[in-house]
Amino acid sequence: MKTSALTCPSCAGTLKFKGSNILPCQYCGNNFLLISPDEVLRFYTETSIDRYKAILIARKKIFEDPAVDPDVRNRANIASVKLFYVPFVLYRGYRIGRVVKTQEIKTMLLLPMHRRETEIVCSDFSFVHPVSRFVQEGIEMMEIPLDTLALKVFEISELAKKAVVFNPDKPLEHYREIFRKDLLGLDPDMEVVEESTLLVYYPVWALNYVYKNDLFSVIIDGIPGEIISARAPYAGSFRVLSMLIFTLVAGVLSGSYCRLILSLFNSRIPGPVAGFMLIVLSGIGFFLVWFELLILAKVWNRFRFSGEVFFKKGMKEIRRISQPRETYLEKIAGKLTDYIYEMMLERANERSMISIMSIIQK
Amino acid sequence: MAEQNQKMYLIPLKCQNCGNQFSAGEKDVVFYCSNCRKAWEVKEGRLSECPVIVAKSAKVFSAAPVFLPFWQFRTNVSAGNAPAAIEVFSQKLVYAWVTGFFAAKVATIGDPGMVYTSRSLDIQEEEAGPVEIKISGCVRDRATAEKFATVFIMQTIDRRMDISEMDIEVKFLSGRLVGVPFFRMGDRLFDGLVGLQWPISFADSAIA
Repeated sequence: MKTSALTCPSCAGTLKFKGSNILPCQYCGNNFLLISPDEVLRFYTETSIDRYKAILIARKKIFEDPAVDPDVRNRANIASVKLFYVPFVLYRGYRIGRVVKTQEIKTMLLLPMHRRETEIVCSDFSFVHPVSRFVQEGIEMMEIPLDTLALKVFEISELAKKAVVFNPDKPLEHYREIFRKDLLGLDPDMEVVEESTLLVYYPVWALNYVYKNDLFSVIIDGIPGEIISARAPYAGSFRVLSMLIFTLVAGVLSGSYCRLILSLFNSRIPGPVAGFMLIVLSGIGFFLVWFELLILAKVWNRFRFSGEVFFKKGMKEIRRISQPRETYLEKIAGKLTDYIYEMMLERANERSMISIMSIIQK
Repeated sequence: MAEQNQKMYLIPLKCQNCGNQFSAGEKDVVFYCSNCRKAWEVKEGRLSECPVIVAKSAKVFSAAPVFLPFWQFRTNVSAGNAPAAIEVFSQKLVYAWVTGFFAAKVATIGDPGMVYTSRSLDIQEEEAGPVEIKISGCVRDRATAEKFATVFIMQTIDRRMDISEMDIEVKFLSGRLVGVPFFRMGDRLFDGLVGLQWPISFADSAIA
């Protein structure tokens, strides 16, 4: 908003815009109402954490996380810590009108009938959405408590001194149109009234660090100091440990199974009984191989591909680097699972057919 | 008197009748002059007078009243293609009410405008006395209030019977701003017209 153009019509003194549409003249004492139909009011809010605190948060919440490689604590080099002001559009108003809905009602004859019913809508709405090229995961999910923030009138010259300020990537009318479409749909009897659009520049800290020649980033909310999103190298020790545990467990299970099979041949169990036991054990063996293969596919992926811990809105997720969509082991395990599923389904169908036939016969 | 340019312009906040400065809230669009008891609305870039009255309280309270702005419309509602009972009922909806101030949390606690509309509430005017009356916090203009009034009327009829097959037409014969007396008792606000109580927070912006 070009506040510099606002001069008092009575005394020609400069009027200062302080966020309200009512402007008092500090020279002659008159009040004026500012009508700005096409203008969007712009505000910003001060960050409550400084550079030092942003690093501290990253160290405490990311570097010291048990899933993150412990070496990161000592060997990570902070490459940059920057404060960004990211614009968010706040669009609010009322959605009013009538919506005619068609409801299906079941009659006694089981023939569906349709009944039209009108719903009168009169509800307020509020959308907050990021509108810049500051594309970082988690930004779109941020919850901004605009009603509790201490908003200040946006002045680019002031803000650009202490932070990198992003501008909206598209005209705000573009976003308004999207919101309106969401709100109104195709209902001709609905409309949006008392709509107001506000642009709030929100502080976000972006911290980049280098670990083993890889660049990782941490995005921190500039008001409560919470992690918006972050990437960190995954702790490698778990990879080896899980492979070792699997090998041990699978070895013991398979060895015991083989020993059991061999004991059948060496024992003095009568032939027919031993044959029956062999059939049962073969079935168990089949499921054992399938189960071990499933686990092996997972453990192998963990062992073979290095990972990254991805933090987003209080959630943690391990992402494998350069892992194909499906490894050979996963393909084999998947096919075996499908085969078992189909086999069981076939059996179940057979059983149900038999029971239906027996009912019919009765 | 409007200082107008292409996009934005300034309107002096003074009573066009007596020159008295208005006391106004941040988002007000209608201004009440407590000196000459006239209300002014921004229309086509200038202040134009709009009818206003101060309602007489129908209930007696010990506290001093706070006047909150409401729009009251005299309406002519016709419900075509509707049963006779609904037609008669809709003809009885003579007055529609809409809050002029920002009423918070109406979705959960109810909207007084809707309550008055469903009762088609008429009022008596408070006689002019020596006490200065202030009405501020009117953030809703008449044109928008008419849209809300139409919805309230349809909602009132819809509560009786589904209006899907009806042709409801609402004509606004007249409209005025009404200062409705509310009485602050602890953390509750009692309205002077029907005696309903509301949490004080629902009219925070207008009372402040």
